[in-house]
Amino acid sequence: MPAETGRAPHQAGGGIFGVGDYWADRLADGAVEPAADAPSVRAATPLSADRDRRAAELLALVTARARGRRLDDLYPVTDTATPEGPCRTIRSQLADVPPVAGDPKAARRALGGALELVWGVGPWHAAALRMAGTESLADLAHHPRFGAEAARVWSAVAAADPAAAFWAVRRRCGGAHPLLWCTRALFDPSDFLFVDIETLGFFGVAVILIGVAEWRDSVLDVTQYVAESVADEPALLAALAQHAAGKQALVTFNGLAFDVPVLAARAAYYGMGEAARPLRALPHFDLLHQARRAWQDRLPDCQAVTIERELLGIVRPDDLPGAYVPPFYEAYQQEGEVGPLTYIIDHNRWDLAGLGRIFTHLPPLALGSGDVD
Amino acid sequence: MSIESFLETLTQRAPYRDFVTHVEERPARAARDGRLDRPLAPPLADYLARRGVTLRVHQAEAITAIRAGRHVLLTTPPASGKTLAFNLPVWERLLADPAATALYLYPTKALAQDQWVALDALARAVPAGIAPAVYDGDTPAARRARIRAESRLVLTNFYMLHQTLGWAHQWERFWSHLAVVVIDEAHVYRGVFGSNVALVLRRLARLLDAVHAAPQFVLASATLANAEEFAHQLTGVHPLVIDDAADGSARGRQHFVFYNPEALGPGMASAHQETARLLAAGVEHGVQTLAFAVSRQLAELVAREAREMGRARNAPWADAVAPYRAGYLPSERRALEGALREGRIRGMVSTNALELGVDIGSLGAVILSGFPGTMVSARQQAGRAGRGVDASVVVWVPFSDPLDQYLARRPALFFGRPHEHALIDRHNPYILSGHLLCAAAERPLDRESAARWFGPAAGEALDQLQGRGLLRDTPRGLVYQGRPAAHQVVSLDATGLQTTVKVLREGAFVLETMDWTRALSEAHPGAVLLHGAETYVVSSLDLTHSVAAVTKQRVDYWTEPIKSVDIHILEEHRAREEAGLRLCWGDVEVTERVVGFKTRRGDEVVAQDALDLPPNTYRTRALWFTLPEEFSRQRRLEHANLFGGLHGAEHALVGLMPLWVLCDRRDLGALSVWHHPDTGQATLFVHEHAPGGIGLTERGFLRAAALAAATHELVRDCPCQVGCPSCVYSPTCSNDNVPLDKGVAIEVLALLAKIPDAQAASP
Repeated sequence: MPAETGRAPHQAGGGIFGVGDYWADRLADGAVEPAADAPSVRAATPLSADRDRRAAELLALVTARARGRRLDDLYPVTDTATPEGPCRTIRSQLADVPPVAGDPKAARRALGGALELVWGVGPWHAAALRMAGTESLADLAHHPRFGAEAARVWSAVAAADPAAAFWAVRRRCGGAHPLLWCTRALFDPSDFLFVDIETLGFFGVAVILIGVAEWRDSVLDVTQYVAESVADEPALLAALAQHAAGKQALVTFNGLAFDVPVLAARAAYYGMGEAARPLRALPHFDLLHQARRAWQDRLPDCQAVTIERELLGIVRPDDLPGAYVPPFYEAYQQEGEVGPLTYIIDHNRWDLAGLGRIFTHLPPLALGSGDVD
Repeated sequence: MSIESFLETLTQRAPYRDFVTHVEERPARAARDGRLDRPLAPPLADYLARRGVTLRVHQAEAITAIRAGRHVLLTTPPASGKTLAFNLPVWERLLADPAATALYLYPTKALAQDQWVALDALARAVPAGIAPAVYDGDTPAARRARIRAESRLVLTNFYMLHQTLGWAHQWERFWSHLAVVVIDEAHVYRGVFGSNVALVLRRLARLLDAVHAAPQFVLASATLANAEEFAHQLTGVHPLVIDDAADGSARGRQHFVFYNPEALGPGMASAHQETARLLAAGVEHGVQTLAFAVSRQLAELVAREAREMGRARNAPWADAVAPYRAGYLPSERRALEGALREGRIRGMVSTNALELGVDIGSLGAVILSGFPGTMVSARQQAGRAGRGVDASVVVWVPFSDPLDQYLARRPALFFGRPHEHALIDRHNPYILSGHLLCAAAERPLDRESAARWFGPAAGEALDQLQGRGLLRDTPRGLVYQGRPAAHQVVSLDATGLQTTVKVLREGAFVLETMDWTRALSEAHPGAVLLHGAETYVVSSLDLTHSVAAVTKQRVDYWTEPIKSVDIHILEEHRAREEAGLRLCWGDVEVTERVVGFKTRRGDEVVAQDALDLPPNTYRTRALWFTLPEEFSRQRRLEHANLFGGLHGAEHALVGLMPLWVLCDRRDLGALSVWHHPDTGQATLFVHEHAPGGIGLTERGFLRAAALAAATHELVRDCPCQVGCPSCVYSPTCSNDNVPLDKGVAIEVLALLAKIPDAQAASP
């Protein structure tokens, strides 16, 4: 018989393959392979060595500036109690972003004249009705076919039920329609919750900071829920759910496509789907759509920073694109120095201030012809 | 009858008859009808009756088993009605439970589209609110939400599933009611790809478990030696196998002809030329003929030659011969498929693109130009002939290649019971750890459930991933805290070596991307790169930024990298010894270096240049053996070419390995050295190219004697004098097949064949 020596495969030697280093290298490379399902040819990303260099300098600077300090030394940090445990919370105020009172009467006029808000009334019908002297939803309420629906929509608008008015427009016209923007004037400034999140990337990665802001009188109150590690993420999500509970509407920049789906995905990831429910249930004003409608002809692009710079004359000190948030957070995690985190906190606060400013700066009825699809 | 006259021409007339070395006749067989335990649901029974379909034995068996809730694997031959056999019980289930959903998985987008047509027709004939839908990379974003919300039968592929698992909350309805997972063409999921697919299925099962779904698995596969075990490795469930024994489909008489261009002596005839001639002869006899070629270029070449033969004879059919391959536009392909189905095309030359599923109707004759690499493919391709009960002919034209010639001389092996093992290794540390990252990004992962779904090797991998800060332990389990998204970095096709290199044309346009290893050997400065039938010359390779620059240039030469390989033994896991020959299996570190390249014009080397490129080092698994001291000493005394013998044995062994293990010759590398520093002796290594290995060499180690015996026989019986491409030559040898010694190679192989195998010797 031949001598057979040895042991079972895979019990031995797993360590020598060094899978930790292997994946760390691959992830660090950001070596994103084109998915086999994706188009095979992708545009080459222009290398931005200059920006990378600035980011590295800034990282060194912010790290040095706060070396050895704790978050609590630099900000007024409190703990918010949530069912998922305490959540590190930073509160501050912005006095230079006052609310601008909306004109509910004008809004009601505009909405009341939009016959197209009634199911079944298309542009052709609307024109015919107007020719025949039906000029408002109130008039249309007596119509044999459209009356019931028109009465319902008009009562939402007239009875100052802003959420009902919002949903009437939203269901009929979609999330980017100018008439939707009209309904904002029906809300009280204190009804809005501005939301902006910071994450480690796009999708499938952690949320590390949730910033919210709301008007109290003429001051914008900012509340930032901060994760000191990924382990705090469930508490962040729970804190946001609690915070949103008392509000009437959300305001975001690109939140329909990014912030809310990400929050919903993360809540589902932790099996806490209920935490995302209020976000989906609230009327949601995504300023990106309104900004595009209002300004895209005048601006090179419709990023929030561009709008701030070009239209509001605001230039952020020291600010880098949001793309540098993930590496900064990673540096904070690896070195335990709080500096890079403070940068992210400040960046987020700028974003919230910008959100408030853009909200007040957008024209009341952002152009648009009032067409309904 | 035209088939008969074509067969007669092949076997009776010169010059054809001289090349025919074997004819295997498979008699016609009548259908055997099956009986169901209870009748089908009335709308389905009506549907079959309307179409005049009678269920056969294997279909009835499958339906009964699937109804009983069993996992089922169908391996009956091509065209035996497998699809109907699982669609019917799936439909019954979806009719009975209006919330239930089914997931159908296909290897390609094209196949999913093809099958959707049939499923959609069934959904129209037997409506049950099923709304079958393809959900893949081509599905418009606007339709996706609706499919997720409403469809009860989704067809997709594993690439898409891999990307989609992170969005489980959007699929909650679909996943929580998932009753059946259908995996068609399951034999495709082997090797690196299959190991990845098996782990995607474990990730799916874990997510389903969280929503209390435990679907039934239904698989359809080509015949394999280890079908049941393979299906278990792939899915984690134990299926009931319904195989050829139960096959009740009717079939016509078929003649399988071995047509060996080597029959008149090595190098006397060209396999491509003969294929073209056979194709022309088939079409000339009025037989619609499909030839399978092993590469795109050959498909084009053979079609062109056959057409020219027709034109030279002023034959009316000359323009009814066309090539078919991947890379054509979908509309061109649909048009060609239609023309073939309707008989307007009389002769077609295809790559394996027509091997899977695509409906092209029945053909009178199929020609296999070269051995397609595996018996699985050979059977699938041959299965394209004689659908239904018509007589048919299959002609195989073997190449001068060890595997082809070995099989050409052994019809009993060719037509005998299946001997190919499809291998999957879910424990490959690189593949496993990538999917652990994905799993942790899909739902927090605790160690206990990791062991349950991903096996005992998961623990150590998790430690390492956590140690590098990619995962974080939280009260809810391990959470992925890396970036970018895990599924974007984990590729199903490769164990993936480091960075992807972009090939830029004129400095900007991305021509293609390739992994780092391939870039070193194919995109080094000076290399000629083929892309879309155009030639490009590489002007620079910048490894710091992972960019290769090329310019489009028409050249009449091609380049070939010169590689050097070093192997360092890390750990020996198993060893056997017999009469001084020691055979081992274990972990090795392979260092490959592209040291230069040759420029060839035709067969002539016109230049040779040196390159200074960094080495590619990876850890994988290998088998190796050292020769008995006494044997080596004797041969040296006789001034025999010991190294040439080892080198020749290496080529032949690697050439025949796919017989036992379903793999491509390129999945394996080999090295023979007359004195290896780790063993101190003459050593022959066969190593895997996939980092971490996927079990190929492990199986090679277990079956070494059978492999060596077969290889020994092949080389010994080869009629050549000093070695030829049919035995000890290798087309991919970096040393240009120098030195080689056929005589010593035979002796080395005979020695290795004496090591008793762990398993009974077959084939």
